[in-house]
Amino acid sequence: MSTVALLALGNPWRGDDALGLRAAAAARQRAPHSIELRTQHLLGPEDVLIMEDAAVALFVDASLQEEGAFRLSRIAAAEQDSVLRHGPSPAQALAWAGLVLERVPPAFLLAIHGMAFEAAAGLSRQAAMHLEKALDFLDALLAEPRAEHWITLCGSSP
Amino acid sequence: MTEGSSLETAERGGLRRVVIDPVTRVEGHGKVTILVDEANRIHQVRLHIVEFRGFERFVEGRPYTELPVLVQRLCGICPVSHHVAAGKAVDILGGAGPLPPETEAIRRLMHIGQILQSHATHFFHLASPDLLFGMDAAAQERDFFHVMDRRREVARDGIALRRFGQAVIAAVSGKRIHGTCAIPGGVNRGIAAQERQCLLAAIPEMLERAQEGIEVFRTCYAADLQRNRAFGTVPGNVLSLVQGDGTLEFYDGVLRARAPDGAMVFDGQPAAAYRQRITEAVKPWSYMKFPFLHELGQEQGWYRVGPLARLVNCERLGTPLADAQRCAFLEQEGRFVQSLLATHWARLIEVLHATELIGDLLDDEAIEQPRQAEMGPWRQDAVSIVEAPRGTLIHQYGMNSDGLINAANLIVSTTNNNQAMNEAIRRVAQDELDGHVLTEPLLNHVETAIRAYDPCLSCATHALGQMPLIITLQDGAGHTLDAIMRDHDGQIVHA
Repeated sequence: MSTVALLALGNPWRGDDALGLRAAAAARQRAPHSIELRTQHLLGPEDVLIMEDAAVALFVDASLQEEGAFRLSRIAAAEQDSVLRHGPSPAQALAWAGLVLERVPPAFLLAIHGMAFEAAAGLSRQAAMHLEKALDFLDALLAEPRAEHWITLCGSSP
Repeated sequence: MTEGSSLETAERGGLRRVVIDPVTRVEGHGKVTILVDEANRIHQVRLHIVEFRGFERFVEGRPYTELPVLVQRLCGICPVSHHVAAGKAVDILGGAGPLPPETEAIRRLMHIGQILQSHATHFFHLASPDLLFGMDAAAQERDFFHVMDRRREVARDGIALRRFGQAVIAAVSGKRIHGTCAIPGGVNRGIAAQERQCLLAAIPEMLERAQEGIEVFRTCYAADLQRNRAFGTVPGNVLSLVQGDGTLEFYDGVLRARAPDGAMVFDGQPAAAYRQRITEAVKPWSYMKFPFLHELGQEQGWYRVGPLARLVNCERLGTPLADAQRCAFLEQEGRFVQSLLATHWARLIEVLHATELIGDLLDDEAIEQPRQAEMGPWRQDAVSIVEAPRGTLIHQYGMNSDGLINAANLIVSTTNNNQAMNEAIRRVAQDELDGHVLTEPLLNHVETAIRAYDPCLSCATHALGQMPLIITLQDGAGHTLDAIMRDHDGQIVHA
């Protein structure tokens, strides 16, 4: 179990919503052997399979809620819920992993601060700066892919 | 053959209207209306497709080369089927000669990947809860999350097969949904060697999972064999593509139609002959057309398409594991089996067949470097037919001398199955609802019948300007004061 299951979420066509996808693409370039990557607009049940042998699961997504450039947080499986929402959350995907895989790896969400999500727009200038900072942080995460270490980094919000 | 049709139309007076809206666990949006009297006797049952598309008009005026990308936006579930059908059409319009074998193989690979992932989604994610837990189970138990919880291995089979089919599509087209592949006379890329090897390595596991899926269905079906065989079953004609020797064909081939007893209605018909063999009727209460086999007439000529139609219509599948399963299936259920729920059995055999086909196609390293076909003069008209997951899909286009599309007609699988689905839900209503107090679980029986066809509801209504329409003017008591109707030719008449 040495891999990181990296689930990147977003829509490349909607401005800063592409932050997660861009971070994932860069991570694959920088650490191709230590991650298993899956990119999605929306999470679905089939996405859980990459978590099967993962030491840690990392969801990377854009967020409007952050105050700083990014934030790492620990996430847990949602309470069981039989309703399939249009945009299932990472916590929901972890709940599916518990059902299908009978294990939920330690899981984290790296939320990168986006500002503008208009259709057919590129990354905003500020989001691009946030992405640069988040990538440096992601490098540090992937250099030591242990849940115990990542927990100490949670709440980082430069 | 038209027993259920007596429930197509009833006088509204004194009847109560029960609506299933939306029909759940199907793709797209539809609703069912049922008219019942005070004694809960069923008087009318209709399936309505309530979405509207309009692609036949959207594509007019666009360059023909755009078709494969434009029309796949009809649907997010089966875009590949439309992409491939339009790809074959632009070959014809662009004057392409025969595709090099490896190039056709890449298109077939994408198409079969779609068959696999769509069938897996349909059976495991959408339909299996009815079979595993029963149609009368509590609503909160009839979903895929309950399958994950209670039948982990079944869910796992479905998830893995769906993901594999999506991976095949992505390897060919760059994306799991709405990728690109077909261009006039060829494809826009080959398969990367690493991806080809990676997919090939997964074939043994997928074959195992596909066979497990068949066994899961057989067990469920056998648990109440007599009832399951009769459920929603109305004998009908079948239509599908086959190869010249009768082998099942998804990508190309000729049209074959059989009567319910297996008698051949026609065989060996090229795609362009569909205009002589199939007539599209309209009904004032539906946006969706009702095609029928021309030589049998509207009353007797309705037909079904899809997995069960394909398996009984062909002589063989052409891959060993799936052929063995087909033989066992037909031996048990009869050579020209008509049982509605057996459609799922046929669907799962096609999952196995698709997995075998994908393995065969990936085995040829020539697909890493495809060539283009020789191109000749443009043509003004093209008809293209493929077998989509849910059945026969027909695309026809006209093009002007500037290379712009000036006409389009699409008959999608759901449209082909329109009358068959209506017949099925009327049979279910007659057999299982008539005289009973209608409850949610009972209404789910109707939905179960629709799910057997897995209608791609979202792409079935698209003929802007051609769809029949009735506008009625009613007084406060609901009495009709006036009504006008636009028929399928666009003529406005007072109804």
